[in-house]
Amino acid sequence: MWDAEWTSPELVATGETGAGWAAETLAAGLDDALPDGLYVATPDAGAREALAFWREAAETGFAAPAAFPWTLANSPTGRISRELGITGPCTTFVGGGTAVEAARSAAADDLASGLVTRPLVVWLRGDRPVVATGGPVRLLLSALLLTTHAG
Amino acid sequence: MTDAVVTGIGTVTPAGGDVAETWAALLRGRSVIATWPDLLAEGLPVGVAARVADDRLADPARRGRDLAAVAAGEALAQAGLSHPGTAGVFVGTTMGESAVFEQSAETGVFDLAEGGGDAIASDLAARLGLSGPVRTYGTACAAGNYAIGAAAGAVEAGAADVVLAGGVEPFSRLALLGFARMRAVDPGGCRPFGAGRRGMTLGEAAAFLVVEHADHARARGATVLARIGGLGLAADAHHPTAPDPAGVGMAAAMSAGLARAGVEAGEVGWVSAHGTGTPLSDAAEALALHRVFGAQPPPVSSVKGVLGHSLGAATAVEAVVAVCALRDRLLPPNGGVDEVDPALELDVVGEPRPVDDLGWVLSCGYAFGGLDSALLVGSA
Repeated sequence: MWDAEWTSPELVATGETGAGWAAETLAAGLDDALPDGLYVATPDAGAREALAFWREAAETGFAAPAAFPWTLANSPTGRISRELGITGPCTTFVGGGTAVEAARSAAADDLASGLVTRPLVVWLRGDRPVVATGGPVRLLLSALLLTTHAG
Repeated sequence: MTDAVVTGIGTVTPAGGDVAETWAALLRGRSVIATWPDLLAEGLPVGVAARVADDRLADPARRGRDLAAVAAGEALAQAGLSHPGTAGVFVGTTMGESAVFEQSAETGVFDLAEGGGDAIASDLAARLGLSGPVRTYGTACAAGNYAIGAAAGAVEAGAADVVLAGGVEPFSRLALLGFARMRAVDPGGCRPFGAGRRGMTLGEAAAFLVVEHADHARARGATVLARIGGLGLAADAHHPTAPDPAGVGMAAAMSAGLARAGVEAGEVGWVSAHGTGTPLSDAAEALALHRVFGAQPPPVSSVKGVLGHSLGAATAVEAVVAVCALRDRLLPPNGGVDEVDPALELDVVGEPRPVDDLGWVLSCGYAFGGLDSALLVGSA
């Protein structure tokens, strides 16, 4: 079992900035221990990006098409799966502490059933509440890689 | 195969305020997609959409929660569970209460507890006084499948006797703008698997299934409508928005679903496809079906040509439709399409098609990020 925590520098919530940081941080931290399932819990992934996307459209009449996919709560999940080459189950649980427990429980269940052998549980959230006016934010990232004793 | 069964279904879609109206509209095969002048007047680049017109949805900032309450109420009533007590609530959604995000640009105020995805599940649990597990699945256009599959797993594992599971998506101007900017919207309306298809049409909906352990349903004398065989999940690990053009991840999800349910490919009588009408996604889905089923996949329909694409609610609506198809032994047509793309080499259902024994329905949904799902729903 492997777990770790990271804090990002201040990031502006546009595009893939936050999801990219999380994915690259996990890739560096995991080294060769690549997971085959991904269980991401988050209370706010995509929320800051959604506010920024809509605010930009309201203020300028233009919204960058490439920014839209990062407004979705599952965007870090997709980004991490690509970075780590995970092709097994990849699920996004939205919410606070109960979402973390649901993610950990789903990973443990899938490990026990043999559906996956190295499920990665990720907890990703901002260090302050989401507000309408946006601004830079630090992201907090925790990760837990489950394996069997044999793994 | 799980021991999870379905004892109630409910939905609100642009075609109707309940299951009966929605099912009847699908069988007619006539699209309810329209041009909405108010969207164009607001400056949105596209006015073509499928929207719910329902007096029960008065407050834009609570539209998702109100849609959920209506659909859940119908499902619980059919299941005969007026006071479900210890039931859980598992909800899939993409944007949560999108209007709360949109209003913040004017008000400068935003409350994640009111707008975030988990606002809907929390509100539904509170309204119904449910004390079971409450979960929100944010897997965009496939979120309903994730919620329903997890509900089946939860009742199987004994984490709950009953779970109200489904998906909810109120109409999202933010999503309409995003898809339009990405040039993913067909200005003439979504034409799944159609020749000359150009993209999707944004919709909105809510749909719920009462999922419970077969023993629990039997003990209380409930009528079983269908079985949940299992959910298959996979990921493309390919691109932020585009599917793997070879359909490898989609096929992996279908195969995983079949394996988890213990169902042979030949037992699938109908594929309720993701079928968004985008050129790439429909082509990849066709290739995936050929990978799994060989030269002659089962008959295929998408509901999105009639109802539009309700994002996080879509696969939940499609699960409800699967239950109707199993109940009536009738395949709904792939509405909204005049000419099927022959290059896909699929048996796309053109008219309502009676079948003697439907067996299993494979209900597919895929999300941005290359996140693939396939749910097996079987006869009672």
